[in-house]
Amino acid sequence: MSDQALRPQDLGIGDLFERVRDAVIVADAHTGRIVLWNSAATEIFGYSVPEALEMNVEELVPERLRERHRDGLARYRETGHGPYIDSHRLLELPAMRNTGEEIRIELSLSPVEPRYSVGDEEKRYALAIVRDITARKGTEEALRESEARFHALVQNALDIVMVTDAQGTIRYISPSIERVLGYRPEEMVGTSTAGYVHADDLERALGELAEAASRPGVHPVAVETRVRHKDGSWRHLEGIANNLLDDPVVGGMVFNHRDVTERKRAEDEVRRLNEDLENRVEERTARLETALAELRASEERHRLLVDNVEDYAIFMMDPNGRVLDWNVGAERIFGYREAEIVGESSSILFTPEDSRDGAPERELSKADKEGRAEDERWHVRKDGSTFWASGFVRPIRDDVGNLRGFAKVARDITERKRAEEALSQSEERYRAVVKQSTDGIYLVDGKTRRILETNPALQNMLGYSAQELQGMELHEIVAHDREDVEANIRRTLREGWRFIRERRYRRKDGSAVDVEVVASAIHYGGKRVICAAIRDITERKRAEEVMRETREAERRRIARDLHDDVLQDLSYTAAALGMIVLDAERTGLEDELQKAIDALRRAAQGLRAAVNDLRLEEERNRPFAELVRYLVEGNRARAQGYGIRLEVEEGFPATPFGYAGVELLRIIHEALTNVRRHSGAESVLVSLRGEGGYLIAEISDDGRGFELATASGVGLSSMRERAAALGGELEIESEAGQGTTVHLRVPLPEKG
Amino acid sequence: MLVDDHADFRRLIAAWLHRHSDLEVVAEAGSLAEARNRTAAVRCDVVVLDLGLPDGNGVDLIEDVRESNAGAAVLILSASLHPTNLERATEAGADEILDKLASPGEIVTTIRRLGTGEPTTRQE
Repeated sequence: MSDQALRPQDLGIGDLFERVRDAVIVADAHTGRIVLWNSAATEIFGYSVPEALEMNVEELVPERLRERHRDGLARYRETGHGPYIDSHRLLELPAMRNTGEEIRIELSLSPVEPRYSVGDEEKRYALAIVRDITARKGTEEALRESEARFHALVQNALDIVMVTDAQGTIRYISPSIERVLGYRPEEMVGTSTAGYVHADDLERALGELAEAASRPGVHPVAVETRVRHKDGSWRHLEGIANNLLDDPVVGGMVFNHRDVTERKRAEDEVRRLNEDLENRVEERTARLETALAELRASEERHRLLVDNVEDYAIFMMDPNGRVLDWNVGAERIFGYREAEIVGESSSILFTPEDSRDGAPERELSKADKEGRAEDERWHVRKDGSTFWASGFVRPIRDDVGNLRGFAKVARDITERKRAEEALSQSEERYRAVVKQSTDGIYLVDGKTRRILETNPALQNMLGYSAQELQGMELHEIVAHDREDVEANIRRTLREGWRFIRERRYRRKDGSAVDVEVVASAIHYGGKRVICAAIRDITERKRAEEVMRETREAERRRIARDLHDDVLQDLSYTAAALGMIVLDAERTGLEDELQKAIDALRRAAQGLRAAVNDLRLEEERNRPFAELVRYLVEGNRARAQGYGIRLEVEEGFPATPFGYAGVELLRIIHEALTNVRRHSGAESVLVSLRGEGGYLIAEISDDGRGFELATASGVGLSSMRERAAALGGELEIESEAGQGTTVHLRVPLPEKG
Repeated sequence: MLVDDHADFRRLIAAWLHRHSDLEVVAEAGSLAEARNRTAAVRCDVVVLDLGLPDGNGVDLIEDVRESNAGAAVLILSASLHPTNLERATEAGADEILDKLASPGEIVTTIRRLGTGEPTTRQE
């Protein structure tokens, strides 16, 4: 490389080369290699001579200009000419130092041709004389900027220029005053400045003026005052004053003013806003403090709450399950005091089995993974007793999500569990009873009359499956008319309980089954529901039938015996005595005999009534009203000193009532017997009528009556039982001295 | 003719009727069968008939009486006064029903009235 370097003397510039203060650099136009580099170049660019001689001149050119540099160099290489190299002008360009710092250089370029050729090729070189002008450039620019700033200041910042004499009388004022105060300059010249100044500012303005006046020369004194606009408003001016009274050119006080009204207004506004803001901040702060205080209080309360909650055990654990704190609820529930348990593993609260099984760890790991672990389990108290607890564990995490521990909340629900178990056992028992019961049991909705549930016995009894029965209407399985079923439902709902001695249900195959029904109204699943148990009484009815037949046969036998033997003998005796009394005239015995005959006749009549009563069943196929008539007539025959009337409502059924009719007759008979024996009545009325599917019979007398409360006797209760057996009821109204009315109300018996 | 299975009562009535010259007891019977035989054999104006007989109900004789003694009246003299029996008696054509407990005088009066076919005043 160095063999390609040139020496200055080769170029005929000898030691001048080293003495010049400008950098002298020669570069090979073909390769761009620096071939000559003086110490001034080193000073400017930083590269030493040996360094420079290894360099391409391009390295001194800033990156952004290298393209242009290369083009220029190429053109010169090929043509020996170029716009810069030929111009002999000083170029001002940026360049790069070895530090990477950009500097400003002044440059002149010249073509260089060696005196001799090196080899065959004709070489071209470029000579650059370079001066660092960075510092000069900086000063120039600073000056220019300063001038520009000053100019701007004069032009824009100082709006008004005013010159006054020593007394403050205006000698000159710039036209800009009109824009600010609305006066034309000529209006103001010759007037006193004091005339425009705000009264409140006058003293200060005079003081400022006096100060300025006391310091001649360019010693600016700041002035600030409010000045009246022509329209009466106030403008805020601020500026500087210079006492140039002694300046031969000026000879006055020079004021440079600017209108700062808007700025002042803005400042005021800002101040006001600041004040407002401060107020708000204060207010806000106060509020925040209040809120914080409340929060603290709330935290305190919360802490107190947690501490004092007695129904719940609440405690914290570290990530390993060691107890960190313990509230009173925990103490109460588990039996440990806080001091005893803090630091212990919470696994001691588990049963040994659960602990061995890893339940405590599982609970924590589940809480950690899922955010919550909830269960019901047995826990162990300090004294070793166990209780059923319901609770949950939650993980506690710090801001970045690291597990810091756990909180557990647990509650003793042993009682609840026991109650639940008892309930479920009771339900099971109940279900078992219902299921195994031989009585048919069903639940029917009190509103829709639809069957809700049935038991197997009912399903067997009626021949339906459970599925078929469910949802069926009650009417479909009860073999009575709808009105009658409805009446029973209503009455059960109203009275809560009802027993129906005989009812007929309908099987799936259409056949009927005789049952007795116990129904009660209950609340079930939020509804009014009737629970009914029905018992097949086919067998009972058969037995009853046999019993009745047996009884009837017995009665018939007794009646026949009484009638055929006793009554005949009595009749004979009465007749015989009747003849004897005719022969006993004037014997003095005739009266006694007649009394005996009368007694005998009454006895015979009583006996006959008894016989007829025993034979009532034989009369069951006679129309009921007619039987009542016979009964009344029979009683009339035996009535002593009172009358009996019978009233049968027009349209009363002219049908036989069968055995039910016989039972009804017995009730009426009983009532009439009571009247005869006890009432002392003068008249008795027996009435029969129908009323909405019911038969109403009333036996009322005008006798002495009785106190119901003290009334007793088999008669009343047997009458009531008979009425109930017929599905009806019997009421007795009586008061001492007010007579008695027996009111019998039974469903109208069907023909049978 | 008197039909009654209670022999004492029957004889008492017969003895009582015997005291009255216008009345004569032509036959007595203690059972339905006996009564049927007798009624076919005798002529009478009134049959005094009890209902409860050992071999049947007295009303069953009424038909026989109507055949053999078309003009005779039938007086039911019964102790029972049971509605069923009384109804049957009326249906079967009994002319009068009287309680056995009636006084002997009343019985005689009733028989006499039935026998003459005219109402008679009560005699005691």
